[in-house]
Amino acid sequence: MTDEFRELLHRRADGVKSAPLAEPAMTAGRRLGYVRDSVAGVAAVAVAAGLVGGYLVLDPATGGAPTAEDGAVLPAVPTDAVAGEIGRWTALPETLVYGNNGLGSDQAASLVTGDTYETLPLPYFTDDDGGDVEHTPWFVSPNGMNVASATEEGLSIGRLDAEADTLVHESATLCGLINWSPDSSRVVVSDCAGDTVDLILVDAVSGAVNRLATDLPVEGEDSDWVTAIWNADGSRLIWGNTPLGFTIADADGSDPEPFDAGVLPNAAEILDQHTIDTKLLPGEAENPRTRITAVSADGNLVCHDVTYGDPTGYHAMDRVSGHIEPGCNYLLDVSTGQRIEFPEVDGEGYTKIVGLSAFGEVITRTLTDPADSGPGYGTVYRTDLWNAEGEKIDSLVEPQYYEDGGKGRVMLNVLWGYTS
Amino acid sequence: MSQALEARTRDGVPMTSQARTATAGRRAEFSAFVSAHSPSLLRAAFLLTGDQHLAEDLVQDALARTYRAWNRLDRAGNAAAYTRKVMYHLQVSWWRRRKVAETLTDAVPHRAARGRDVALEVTMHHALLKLTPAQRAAIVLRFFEDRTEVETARILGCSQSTVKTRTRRGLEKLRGLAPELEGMLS
Repeated sequence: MTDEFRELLHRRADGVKSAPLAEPAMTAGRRLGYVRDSVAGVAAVAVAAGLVGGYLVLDPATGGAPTAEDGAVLPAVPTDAVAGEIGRWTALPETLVYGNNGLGSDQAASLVTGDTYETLPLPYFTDDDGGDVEHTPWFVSPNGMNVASATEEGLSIGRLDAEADTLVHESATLCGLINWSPDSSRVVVSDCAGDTVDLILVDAVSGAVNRLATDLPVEGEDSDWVTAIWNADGSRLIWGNTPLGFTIADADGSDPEPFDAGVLPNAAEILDQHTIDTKLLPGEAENPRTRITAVSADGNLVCHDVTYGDPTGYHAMDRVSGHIEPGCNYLLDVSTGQRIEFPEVDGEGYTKIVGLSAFGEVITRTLTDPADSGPGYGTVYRTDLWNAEGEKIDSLVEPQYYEDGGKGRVMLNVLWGYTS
Repeated sequence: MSQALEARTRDGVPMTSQARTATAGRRAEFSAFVSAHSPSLLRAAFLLTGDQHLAEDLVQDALARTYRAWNRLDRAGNAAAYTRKVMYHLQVSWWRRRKVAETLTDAVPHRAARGRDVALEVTMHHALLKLTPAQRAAIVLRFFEDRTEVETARILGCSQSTVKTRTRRGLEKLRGLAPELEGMLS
């Protein structure tokens, strides 16, 4: 009987007009080319937040890419990414890496070392014809040396100062956030090609890819809220979402078991009353959801980025291109159920935890009192480093902006990473 | 394969420069490939998008990526499969969905031949466009392109069981949306 249906489909499609597509396709293909118009050096060694996650087993390498039979298998492709080291954080780094939002596009990184500023345009397509700008979500590694990006072609990895990145996983269905391992040697991102979310785990240096299947559904709003991170020493992988809970496993996704991520707070615990009254609808304050951004080496500290309200229509990648940096607003000790607080900065201004080391050091970033800022600008951030005992051991008032030649003022709001 | 991929990384030559220096032979080769394959791609794309212009846009996007990958595709020998796969992936990608909502133009894309039930065709297409992009892709591959479940799974980058599920649910939904198709879908 389906023959009639087949015939109906063919009749419907018959007579579609042909179109001259070769020249437009070649033009569009060239515009998709990766170009970087300046190169700069980055000195580094690792610091910063532990992020990323993963799953259960796997078919090797090809992911959503065309198969061998299709003739376009992507092998493990060496990248020029550089792994870092995991050590104690004894001081804030000299160089900070920012997402750039002062040049009409966020496809650039700014490196700030003291009074020295450097702009690194990234090799991602930007529509310069006045149309919609297709933002490419990109994420700098904790050591500040590498960048991973989700283009329409798939996942690309390379050095931040390279001229082009290597496509390591071809897919038009990436979803969720990209996360780096604490030593900057691995990357994970979700792929929503199927009915359930797969995790794409990549060795950032060799380019080897593993696809790890999960039972987290793609349909619905929750797939963009899937957490996938490594813990702070990179030995464990954590994944899940608020409705279905979380799983912890070995770093490669093997031996999974349920993970207790703790109880999420009521909005009154982390938002002021004015925000609750003006930003949340009735009932939303009791409906938190989280994306976990860091887990301590022993699994006891869990950093939740908690939000409230209806997530419908929310896309993680959009959020990133909207200049909202990674980090969390609720650091919880799940063994005691107590929130980890930083009395010196709590109440001073909005604070996010942006780094959690393998040895318990924490980096916070606080939007300070606008009264401290320069004329006309209210966004002064201060970055603080705390040891495992909660004592402040270093602090830095970040610059607000710099003048980039004739291109104008570059604001430094989105802190992506650090170099030592 | 690895040679082409290396060319995309740090070889000191920006990609646009590489594109500019593409030989006339390469362009002619690609043009011939497009001429040969774009009609069938457009037909499938029309079923997927419901609009001639959106179909052209979808096929062009897929071809643009094929052009970029032309060197590592061993020319037209496997470029067709690659382009088809990219096209279906783009269609189910949320990146694309957020920009383009599938709509069906009321105009029939061609003159109706005698004996055709144009109204039924339009009803069917309206219903098809109400499926999820993933279900729609499975239906088009299985019943328009006559692909096996294995082939469909390979193109969509998912398991065979996922193809079965999508196809079954897609057909169920079509029956509900367009009862006049019931006899064709059992």
